[in-house]
Parts: sequence; structure tokens; C-alpha cells
Amino acid sequence: MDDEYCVKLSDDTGKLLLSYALDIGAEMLVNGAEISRVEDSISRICKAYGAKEINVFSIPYVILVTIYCENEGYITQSRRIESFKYDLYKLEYLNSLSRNICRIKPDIKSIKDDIKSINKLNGASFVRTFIGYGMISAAFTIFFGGSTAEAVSACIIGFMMHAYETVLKKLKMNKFLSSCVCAGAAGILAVLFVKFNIGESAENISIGNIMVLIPGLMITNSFRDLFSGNIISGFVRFTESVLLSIAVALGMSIGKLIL
Amino acid sequence: MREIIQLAAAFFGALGFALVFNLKGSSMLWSSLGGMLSWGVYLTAAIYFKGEGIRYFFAALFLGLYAEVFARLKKKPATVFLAVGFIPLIPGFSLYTTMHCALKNQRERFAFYGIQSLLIAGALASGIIVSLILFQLLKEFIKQFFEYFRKRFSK
Repeated sequence: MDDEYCVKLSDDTGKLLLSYALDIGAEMLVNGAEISRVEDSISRICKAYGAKEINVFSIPYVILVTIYCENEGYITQSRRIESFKYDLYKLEYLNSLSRNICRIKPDIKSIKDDIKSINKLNGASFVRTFIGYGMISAAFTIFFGGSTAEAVSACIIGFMMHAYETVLKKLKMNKFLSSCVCAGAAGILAVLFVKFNIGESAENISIGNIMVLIPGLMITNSFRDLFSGNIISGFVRFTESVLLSIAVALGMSIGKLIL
Repeated sequence: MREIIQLAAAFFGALGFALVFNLKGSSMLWSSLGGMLSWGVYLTAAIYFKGEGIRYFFAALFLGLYAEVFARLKKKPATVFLAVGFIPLIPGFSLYTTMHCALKNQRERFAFYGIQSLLIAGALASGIIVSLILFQLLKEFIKQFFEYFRKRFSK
């Protein structure tokens, strides 16, 4: 069975295969997959096309793969991941794509079109995230025991935070600083809303807004990474999420103490 | 009554995150339902256990198993269900209060809420790890079970 697919790895295709497998893996990592899934998918794809000796290593910032092909010998490639943009729909799509590749084993050049089609998929639309921010803020204000008026003001602040964050993203500010500033603005707004008598306690309003900024996906991924044996990645993500949530809480309290 | 409102709020909060994470179709509904049910587990655990940590542990344990089961059923990564369902369990309140007290120089409250957030984080982590182990055991068990019967009947 192996020989049949080794034919596909003749000529220059080993390099192509590796680069496409890495593209898929990198795209998965950006969209919020855990490390073990990334490593597993890459090695499965390479194995499906008959590569021998597959060594995959990944941390949240870099993926490094070496495979051995009969014609080309050892090939090594790597990808550096600059920034994360969590999009679970893309992750679902990538997951089924890598499953399909392993099952059907299409011609290597046609994988390129599949990768192009991933990039064409739209990310979360403006309306979705806009509604999402308001919904999260209002829901968690009520969740932690706030009144209806407080939920309404949290919702409005959530909408404002969304607009604010899109502006901050265009400035390409540091991640920690931008969420700190965003939380600070939300804190100031919460105090202002209370001063205008929409809601009684600024604490209750802020707690809804803070949930928007806390990196929940990163925390869950860090736990999963830690306990599936990827200690480095787990700690990297855990530290990052703790720093981010401290930055958020800090920004919020500073914003409130200013007024 | 407060519990029912909280459950509904947990559902909509998780749904909001499903929107932000760009989930579509049925996985949006199932993942937010996971958040609601895990909070339900947290609330019902209060009948048997007094400690907050153990309640969070059981909630995380339930959510981990829920996510793994739905990942197999829907053929989607478990992260989809886990990340969204995890949101109501995250100790946002105590984390925020910790920082707020640190800035206001209220040391006793700072220590209290700081320890509480650490405790909850530990409980959530151990819930997830136990769910992973349990699920792997279960998978292995089912595999061995079928293997055994196949061998038996093929003879």
C-alpha cells in the first residue's frame, strides 16, 4: 500500500506536500486549535502521502516539521505564527479538510485550491461580533446578579467597546495595552452611566463588560495543552491568558478610580 | 427563581461568545447549551457539596465529557464545544475584584479573592484533566470490548 503513494512523492512534490501540510497546521493554530491537534493533523497528512520519519514540533508561535522522502531525502520547513485570530468555524472547516485529505488523498496540487478556499471564507462579520459583544455584556451582568437597567447599560457599553476595539485594532497596538485601554474606557463609561442614573452599581455593569475581554478560549486551550503533554505550550498560553486578564482587570479598575 | 435566571443568562452569554467566535448552525446551539448545563451542574452540586472548589470541579468535569461526546457525535473538534461552554465557569468576578482591591489597597479582600480565583482555576483545570482521562479510559474500554467480541465470534 505504501508504494502506491510513494509514487506521488516523486520529483519535487515532497516539498510541496510539506508546505501545504504546514499551511493547514498554521491556519489551525491561528484559529484556536490545541497543539496536539495541529501536530496530529500535520503528521497524518504527511503519512497519508507516504512520507517516512515524520518529526513534528509545535509551540503556539512556531511549527517545525522534518520529513523523509525517498527522492529528496530529509526536508525541513517551519512556520512562524505572528498573531491569533480565533475563528471556530474555520477550525471546523480545517478539521474536516484534513480528515478528507487523509481519507481521499487527492492530488497534491489540488490541496492548494482547498487552502485558497479557506482564506476566502469570511471571518466573523461585523454584525455578528457587534451583537455578540452586547449579548455577552448584558447576559453576564444579569448572571452576576445585576438588575435590568444595569444589563441595558452594560449592553450599550458592550456595543461601544466593539467600536472602540475595531479602532484600536487598526492602530496595531500591543495586545495587552489595547485590552487594558479598552477595559479602562469601559470602566469610565460604567461610572458615567451610573452617574446618569441608569443602573445602581458600576461594579455590576463592569463585570459584564469584563467577561467580553477575558480570554476564555486561551485558558481552556492552555489546560488541554498542559495535560496532554505539551507543557511548554500549556504554560505559554496560561501565562499569556493570566497576563491578559490581569491587564483587563487592571484597566477596568484604573478607569473607575480616575473618575 | 434566581437560579433559572442565571441559567438563562449563562446560555445567552455563551451564545454571545459563539457569535464572536463565528460558530454557525447547530454547533452554535449545542455549545451554548453546554455552558448552560455545566452551570446547572455547578448549581445542583450545591445540594451535596458546600465547598466552591468541588462544585467548579464537577462542572468542569461534566463540560469536558460533554464536549468530547459531542465532538465524536458531530465530528467536530472538541475545542468548539469546550471553549464556548467554559465561559460561564470562568471566575471573572473574583478576578476583577482581586485587581480592584489591590489598587484600592484593601489587603484582606485582595487575599481572599485572589485565593478564590486561584482555587477556581485549579478546580477547573483538574475537572478538565479528569474528564480527559475518563474519556480515554472509556474509549479504550469500548475498543477492547468490541475487539474481544469480534475475536470471539469470528472463530
